[in-house]
Amino acid sequence: MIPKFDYVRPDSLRQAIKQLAASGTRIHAGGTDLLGCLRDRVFTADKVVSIGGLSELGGIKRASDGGLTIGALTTLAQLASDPVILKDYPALAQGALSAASPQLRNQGTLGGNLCQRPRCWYFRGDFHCLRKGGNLCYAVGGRNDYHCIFGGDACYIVHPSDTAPALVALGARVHINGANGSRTIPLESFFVPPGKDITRENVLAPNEILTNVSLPAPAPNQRSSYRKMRARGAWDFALAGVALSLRFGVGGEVEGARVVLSGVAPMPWRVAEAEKALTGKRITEDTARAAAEICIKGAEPMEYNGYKVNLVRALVEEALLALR
Amino acid sequence: MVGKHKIIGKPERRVDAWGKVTGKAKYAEDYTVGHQLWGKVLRSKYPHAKILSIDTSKASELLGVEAVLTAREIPGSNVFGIVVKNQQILADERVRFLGDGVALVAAKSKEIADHALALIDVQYELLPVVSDPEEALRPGAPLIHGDTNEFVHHKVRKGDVAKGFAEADFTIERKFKTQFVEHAYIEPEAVLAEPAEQGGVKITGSVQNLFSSRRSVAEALGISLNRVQIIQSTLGGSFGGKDEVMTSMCCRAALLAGRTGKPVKMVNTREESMLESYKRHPYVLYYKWGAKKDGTITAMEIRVVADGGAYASMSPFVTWRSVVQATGPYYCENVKTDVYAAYTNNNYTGAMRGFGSPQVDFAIESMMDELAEAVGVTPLEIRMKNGFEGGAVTATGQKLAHTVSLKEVLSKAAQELGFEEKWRRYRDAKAVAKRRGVGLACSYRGVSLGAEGVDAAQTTVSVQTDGSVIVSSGVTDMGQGAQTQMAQITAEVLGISVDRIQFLNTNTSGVADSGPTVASRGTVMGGLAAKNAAEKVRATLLEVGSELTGTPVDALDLADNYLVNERTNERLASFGELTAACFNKGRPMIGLGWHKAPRTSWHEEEGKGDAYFTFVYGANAAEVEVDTETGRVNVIDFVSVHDVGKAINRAMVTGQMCGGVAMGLGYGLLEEFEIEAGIPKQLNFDEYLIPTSMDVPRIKTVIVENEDPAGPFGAKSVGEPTNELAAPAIVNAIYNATGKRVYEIPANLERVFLGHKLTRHDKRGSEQKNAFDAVMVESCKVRGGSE
Repeated sequence: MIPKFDYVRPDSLRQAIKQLAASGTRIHAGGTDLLGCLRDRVFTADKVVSIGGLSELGGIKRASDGGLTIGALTTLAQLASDPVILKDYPALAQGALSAASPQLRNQGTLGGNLCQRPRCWYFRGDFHCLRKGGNLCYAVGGRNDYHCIFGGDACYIVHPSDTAPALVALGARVHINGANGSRTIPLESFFVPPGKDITRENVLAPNEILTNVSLPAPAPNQRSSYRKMRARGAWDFALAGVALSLRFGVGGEVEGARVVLSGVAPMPWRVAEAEKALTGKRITEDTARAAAEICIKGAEPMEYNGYKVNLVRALVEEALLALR
Repeated sequence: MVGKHKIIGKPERRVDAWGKVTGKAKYAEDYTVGHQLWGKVLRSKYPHAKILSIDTSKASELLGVEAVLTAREIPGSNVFGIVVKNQQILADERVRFLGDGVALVAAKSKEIADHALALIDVQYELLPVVSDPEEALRPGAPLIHGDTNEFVHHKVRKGDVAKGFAEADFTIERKFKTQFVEHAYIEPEAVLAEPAEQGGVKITGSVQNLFSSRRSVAEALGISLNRVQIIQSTLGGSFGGKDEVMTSMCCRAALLAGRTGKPVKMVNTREESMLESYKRHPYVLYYKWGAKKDGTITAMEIRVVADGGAYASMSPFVTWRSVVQATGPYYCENVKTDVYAAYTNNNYTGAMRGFGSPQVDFAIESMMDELAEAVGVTPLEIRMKNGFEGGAVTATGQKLAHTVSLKEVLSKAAQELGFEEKWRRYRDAKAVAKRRGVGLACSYRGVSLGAEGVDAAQTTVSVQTDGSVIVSSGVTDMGQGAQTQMAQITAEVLGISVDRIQFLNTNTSGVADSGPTVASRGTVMGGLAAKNAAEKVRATLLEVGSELTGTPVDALDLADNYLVNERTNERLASFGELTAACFNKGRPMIGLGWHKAPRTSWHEEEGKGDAYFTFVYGANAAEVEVDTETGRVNVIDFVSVHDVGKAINRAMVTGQMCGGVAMGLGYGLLEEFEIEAGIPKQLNFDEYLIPTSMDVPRIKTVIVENEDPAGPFGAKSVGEPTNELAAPAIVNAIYNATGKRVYEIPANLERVFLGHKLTRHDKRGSEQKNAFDAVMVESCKVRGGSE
């Protein structure tokens, strides 16, 4: 049963931000993650502020620079089927399509997907873990099959989003509005690693709202993809995944690359060294293999999640070869 | 009547289909009555603890709360159990697993009931937890009941295994492990209990085995059986899962209804359901076979330990089927099988589709492939060499007198998949990243309860003056199609169309105790009782028809809703005219059908007996593609072949076969209900993964029909055999593809990739483990405190 809370549905962004000033408020967009968290008492809410009525947060628009602006309320289903995204930013469409189930994709929003809470079963269960203010990460000595192999630091969650790695690979920026004005930052710096602050996954202040995401204009000869491995064929979070965005030169060599892993770190995990190694080279079985090997360098598997190392290597290689 | 069936064998529409697809079907939660209260259970905070005190005073004072009950307020018996009575409706002195109930609340709303639960103060003293069945059997382990955790030891003895191993050219010795799995019925547990007008209680609920639940309710209330009426609502699945957990819910709701004098509804959330309900038994299986170079098996020595969890439940029966079937359908003169069940602080384990066979079939069929490899023949050849034929004598000394179709189903499965050619080609293929493989598995399975217990059932057929018919049975429908098959049998015997039949949901006060609807006995037992009932009605109607028309009885037939002259095919009267005449002449309009199963026997000490009155045979063949770089297994083709004796309804048999494979695929590849130090890890389907339509391949089904006189129109079982072979067929296919064998299911990514679980710390010290257990217990405290 969901504990009682107040519910408001403001009709302007300004009003919404005002409502968020009180402590104990939570933003409600699609609700697919929020309601589960409230029901399972992962966290509580005194007041839920629905932003569902804010038309300024919807829609996919061509920007003046040829890029794209995507409102935070855009559903995953819209992202997965938008013709412009399918053509210019396939990694994002693939990421959105690979998330959840059709019903959840109809309801879940882009903003919510980026801000969703981790799926660690200790965090979600009745365990007073570090991330919930306790003093222990139960995954360390417990079952850590689905935990991270990169970037863990006292807490070993993975970031559950499939759109985030795709957007980071595509060079997305996020726009944030709050009581103290608005700011625009690269999506990459939106996420907060546990080493920095163990209680949050992103930089949003309590009275801030992620309003939209913008993508730069696609370069000619840019190709992107998102590939995800999961335990079953549908409706499952990534055990590991990789988002790629590659810009090719006239000779078929890579001019610019972004390689971002999912399902293996507390945030979308960019592998700059692999990107560097690919730059200036054509994608061959050898360069793909080499980049894949770089991607697993420094992996720190726990007792039960060593299989993820293999997944990453195989996925990166396969994804690179598929894009050539 | 062979060859001239009008209804039997046809894909008749299910009698319950229309209600289900239009939303008119009423599931237990859909029943709502005036003044209804909501019942809720306070469950244990710890997997194992002594209850020091329970203070319900604050909860009782809450506005809207009408009753708070603990074990002390139960007027009758607090314990129940079909074999061993050791499960409590509410824990009195000790909790033995996290799903145990401690107190009950009835309140005007769910919200108030939930609030009241939080106000109940229970003080516990923690007890050590045992979560591993083998550890539970070691001296010094924490005891769950009495002075030993070993509560089952079944054996089978045949010949002399020492002699058998001495005759062997080689031995194969392997250890296998299987996991807890959840039934995953779509409808969680729900009941409505109403105080009855003449005293007692009427319960409408999602109950699989009404008569055993009724007995426990009567004992809990301290009243006679006739004062407890349980009516089965339309069930949203059960798969063996709505037995004890529903008994417990029926008792709790009845107790609250008795205390308040008002109707009480109880509905579990999915989390409550997964936390409290019983699971399929995890087994640890030690198999040792001796064999000759030509593949003859000279000895089988088998030891199995089953995790029974906190209560006995069906473990004694489940493990008995395992001990009978542990050698598979293969000749072997020297057999020694021991199956144990141990109490632990895990979820208790009980009946689930397959009932002790999926675990042993995984081991047997893996062993058979290893034997084939050792001897240098194909998996099909080794099974054809060792497989049972007509007149075979099983490990328990039973001579098989029915049509033994093992080799027929095996050949058909192999042929349909192109097994032999593919198996050789894939074995010899070069090592690329994505490799294909094929696997085979077969089994024999005892039909119905066998020597487990009394095996009899009742079905009633009652004709109305307008020619419509009402059928009711003590055999229940939980979605498997029992009502439809009994309706078809009735329609066949009475020469009417199925749409004339209205099937009543089972009501314990309307039919005789027909035992539990388990063990794939519905078609055989309920079907034969239906046939028996319909034949009685038919005899009466033909007599009436003869009196009416002057035609001798032996020239009359009932066909296509008419009384006909069999010789001239002349229609003499409509079925409705005939039933009206029957009424007007004051003749019985009702047939009471009863069927008692043929004799079976079991000698527990000698480990021998005629375990089942007949058996069924099945074979599955799987084709997989394994990504050797990730361990990902895709099942790309599947063949399921079963000898069902006679398909009463081909569409339903095909449905059972496909559903069984899908469920078996989940068992083999995906599903695992993980319990860590007594605490389950997955309480909903976001983490407990069952297969989706994206995971299940196209399934070719082949129905083999060797009619068996033990069943109606030759029909026997289909529900469970379809679910026991997918996992071993897939695991064998993985081996064919990769050359690596998986000894522990589910065959998830890491097990397929590495062939074992990945561990960074090779030996986790016991100190570390103890520290972790302490942490888990601490977390329980927090979990309790935060509520």
